[in-house]
Amino acid sequence: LIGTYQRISFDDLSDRANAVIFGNQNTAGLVDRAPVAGKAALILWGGSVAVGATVGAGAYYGPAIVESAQIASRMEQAVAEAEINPRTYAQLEKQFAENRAKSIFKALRSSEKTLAEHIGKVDKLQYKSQVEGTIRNVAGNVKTIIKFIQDKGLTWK
Amino acid sequence: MTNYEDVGVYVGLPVRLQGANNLTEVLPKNLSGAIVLLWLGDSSWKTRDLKAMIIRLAEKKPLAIVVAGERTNESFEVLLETLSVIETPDHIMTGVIHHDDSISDFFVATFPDQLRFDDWQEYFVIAVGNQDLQQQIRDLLNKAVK
Repeated sequence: LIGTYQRISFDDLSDRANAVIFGNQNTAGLVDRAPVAGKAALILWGGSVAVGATVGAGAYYGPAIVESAQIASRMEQAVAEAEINPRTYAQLEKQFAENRAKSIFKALRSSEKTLAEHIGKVDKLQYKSQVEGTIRNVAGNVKTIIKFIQDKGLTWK
Repeated sequence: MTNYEDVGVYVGLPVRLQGANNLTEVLPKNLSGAIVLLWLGDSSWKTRDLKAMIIRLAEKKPLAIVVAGERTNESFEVLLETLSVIETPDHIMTGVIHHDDSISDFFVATFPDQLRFDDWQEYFVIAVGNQDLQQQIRDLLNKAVK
């Protein structure tokens, strides 16, 4: 899932948040400190949260995090078209009560990876309806998690 | 007869573990309320055995099947291809946990299809491999759940 392009900031994050994720002239960012295999996920994670306040307002899956721009675009489209999943939202409430914000951000990162993996495979299948059903659900979960993060005012620490 | 063990609870749902020496030995119980994690601990698994296992699992109507362990790129493709060509009355969610993921990814981000949420009763982990592998999975689960 790692491409050759590396994002160095998000326009809609504050200077401080960008410094935490990407580093600055004085210190390394989390991206630099993460193992190589973890960089993509970290960038994906940061991107979603950054755009969580403006879902649908612009591309937030950069080419550093998925196999191709086409998959990134399809992820964005799937999430934009998805419905909020009320049952997932209720489950997130329980998860948050028990395991706090860290598990919610982890759910977002993991769900986005799952979405990318299914979109990357679906075209190879002769019969697509099963996987398309999963894509719809996971895209809805991504949208729901972002809404949950917004509603609760969660920040990644 | 019970052929699984309870290893803990995650957000109110029991987490159960069933060990198996190989794919052909595995005989899952009723899984209609389960999100299933199929952990392939032996890299020598055969595609035909995994397909047969997935078909048997699908017949139990689980809410989700997630693959993990060895050769996950291949096992995930086998999972998607196999489910795409068989008739299932209710939608089964799919997923994969790679080596660079942690088992907690399975718990925090695997949900049933929205239409099947009311059926959700448990997490069910099937660890396919030798006793050492089964113990490793048991240890991982003990750290990830309460």
